[in-house]
Amino acid sequence: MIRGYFSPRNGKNRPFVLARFTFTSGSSPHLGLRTHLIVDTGADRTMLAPSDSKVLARLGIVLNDLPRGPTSTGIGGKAETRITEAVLTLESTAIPLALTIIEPPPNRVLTSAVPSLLGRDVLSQFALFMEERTGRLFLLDPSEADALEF
Amino acid sequence: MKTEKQELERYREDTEYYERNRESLVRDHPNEWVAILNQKVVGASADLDELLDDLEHKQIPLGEALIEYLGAEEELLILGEE
Repeated sequence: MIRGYFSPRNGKNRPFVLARFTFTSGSSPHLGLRTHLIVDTGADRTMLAPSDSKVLARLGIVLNDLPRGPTSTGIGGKAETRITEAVLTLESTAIPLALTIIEPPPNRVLTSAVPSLLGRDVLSQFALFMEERTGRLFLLDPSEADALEF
Repeated sequence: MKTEKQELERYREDTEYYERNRESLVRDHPNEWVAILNQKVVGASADLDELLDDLEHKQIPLGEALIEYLGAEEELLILGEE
């Protein structure tokens, strides 16, 4: 079971999990990025937000060298993306995935904290239990989910 | 050298530090990005690139620090992607 948490962000309580990405491509195969991901059942894929993408670029991943991904479309508009192979570690669970990276907008200072997303490509491997009233947020693996009785 | 579990625990503690101190952090650094490592603010700037420059200069591991934007106003977040 992976435990998430609710955290206040700009006046709202939001559901997160702690995450670490390691990158298997590029010149630094053990390069790691720690962040937190907002649990987003509306997101098709797990995505790195522009602020994390900027950190990633500083760590040595050259975004322009990565293959282009599909244009991301959300309520806030469209954004260009890149794709890279990565391993997402949530507590002790390691999940290989094709990570979508949202390109930071060029020549613009980021002035909002849009978080990186834990999307359904990963969530689909778990059962999600989320109860804000008690602050409980769990990702249950299939055996744990199958043991539940309702 | 710290294990992955210890590193995760440290990051969790930094996150808890951020949550406990968010009000004072917003007061001290409104509309700025802050970096927290080992439950200390190790850098702050309104410009994320400047903050990252500063952290690199201080040789703070970028992939390990908690970096947050301290918006002074409430924001409505609507996510999703296709």
